[in-house]
Amino acid sequence: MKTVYWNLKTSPGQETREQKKSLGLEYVKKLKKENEKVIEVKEENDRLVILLEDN
Amino acid sequence: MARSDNKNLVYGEWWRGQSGLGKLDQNKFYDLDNCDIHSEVGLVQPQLALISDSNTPSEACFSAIVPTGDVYLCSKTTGKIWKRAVSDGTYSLVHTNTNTAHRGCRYFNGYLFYWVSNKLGYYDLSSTWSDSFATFTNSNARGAEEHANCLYILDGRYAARIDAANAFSANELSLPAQFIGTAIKSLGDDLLIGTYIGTNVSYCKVFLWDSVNTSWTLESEIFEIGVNCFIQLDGLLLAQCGTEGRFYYWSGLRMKKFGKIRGITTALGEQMSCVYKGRALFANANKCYSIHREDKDLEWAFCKEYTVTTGTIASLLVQADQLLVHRGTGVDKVGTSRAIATIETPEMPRQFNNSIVLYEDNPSGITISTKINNGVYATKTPILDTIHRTVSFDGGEKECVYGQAKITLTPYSEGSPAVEKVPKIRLISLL
Repeated sequence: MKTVYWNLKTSPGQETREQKKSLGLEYVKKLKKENEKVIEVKEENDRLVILLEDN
Repeated sequence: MARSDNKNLVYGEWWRGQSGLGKLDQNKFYDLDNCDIHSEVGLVQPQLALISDSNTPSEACFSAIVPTGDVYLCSKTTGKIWKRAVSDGTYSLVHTNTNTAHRGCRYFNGYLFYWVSNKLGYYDLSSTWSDSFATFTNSNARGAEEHANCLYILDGRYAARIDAANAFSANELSLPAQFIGTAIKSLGDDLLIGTYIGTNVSYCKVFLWDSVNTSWTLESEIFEIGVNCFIQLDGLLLAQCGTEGRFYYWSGLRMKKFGKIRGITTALGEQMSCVYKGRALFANANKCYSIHREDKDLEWAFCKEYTVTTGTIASLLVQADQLLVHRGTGVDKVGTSRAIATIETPEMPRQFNNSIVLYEDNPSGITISTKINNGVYATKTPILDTIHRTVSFDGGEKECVYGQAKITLTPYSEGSPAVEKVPKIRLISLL
């Protein structure tokens, strides 16, 4: 299993946390499309933690 | 640079290098090719010539060195990865990345990382190659830098990060959507990130980022198409930008003009710079330029120092005290013989009848050509005066209104066994 992180931290003038989360979920879709086996996606503090099967 | 004694113009301050301004700039040389201007201040001699180290790899490559001194070369056009063994200098194909054309490679934290536009792979330097270790969000991975025990790789508007536990984070920094990261450099506590927007947009920005927050601290606009690469000088960080050979430096708050290499076309090119024996080198087409000063009290100088044996330079890397220049069809290194060097003076803004070269050593390798009234260079028959240690010609430039001199320094062999004789000169006087 391997872990990939998606940063949800925000700064003034940037996307909101929700927008960042939405971009993160788009990224998860991209991973799936590229045949990555996604085991779990969870929100931990300021990041999405994406657990993937080792390829 | 030119000293005048009412009659002569004397050019001998080689350490000032070549001019970015043109032939009328009297403070620098119009052109210096294959010249060694820094070994001894006040003298110039031909630089050591590049020779072929190998005709493998036969594809343009990025290169990375690992702690053993082995060098890995990742093709820019295919998935092939070669290794240059430090033990015997031999090259061998060690892997083919299924994700094809590489965008970069770098050693970090026990692994060789290599990446294409959308995938990051690694090699554990033992037995395991993993071509698809991670996926980039924007499918636009380019420059990378190690900083604060992490490896940062630019991917479009994002900077991805591999930390010391080898965990991949896809978006540690988010730039405004139109900016595409090209080059990245560690700068104290911060990272400086160069960008471009598009080949038809004539401005770009650099962003200073503390590598902790998701936003940047400072930004500075540059009115060039993009930042092509960063070049590390002694205490000064340059950005080579745009298509016309211009260089800018980071002042601490913004980018400011530094200088220009005249007559070259520049483009995106991570790994087109390195520091070799204390000199920053920048590669363009088939030449390596130094941007250097030998002492803090001298000014920075551009000088064309090395020419590849054939082809176009794809990347530079220094291994121990050897410069490895990847030239698309193989690799060159610095040899032990000297190249043929040429020096062009500025245009003397008035009539001159003769050029006198004051030599230091081996005058038989010195030839003089002159160009008058913006014509073409004509080679002169040299006259050697061993008492006054000069090489000159028999004057007679009667039609001259203004003109330039070109001096060629050709190393030659003498004696048995043959010993290389390297011409070395002190100054050129136009009178």
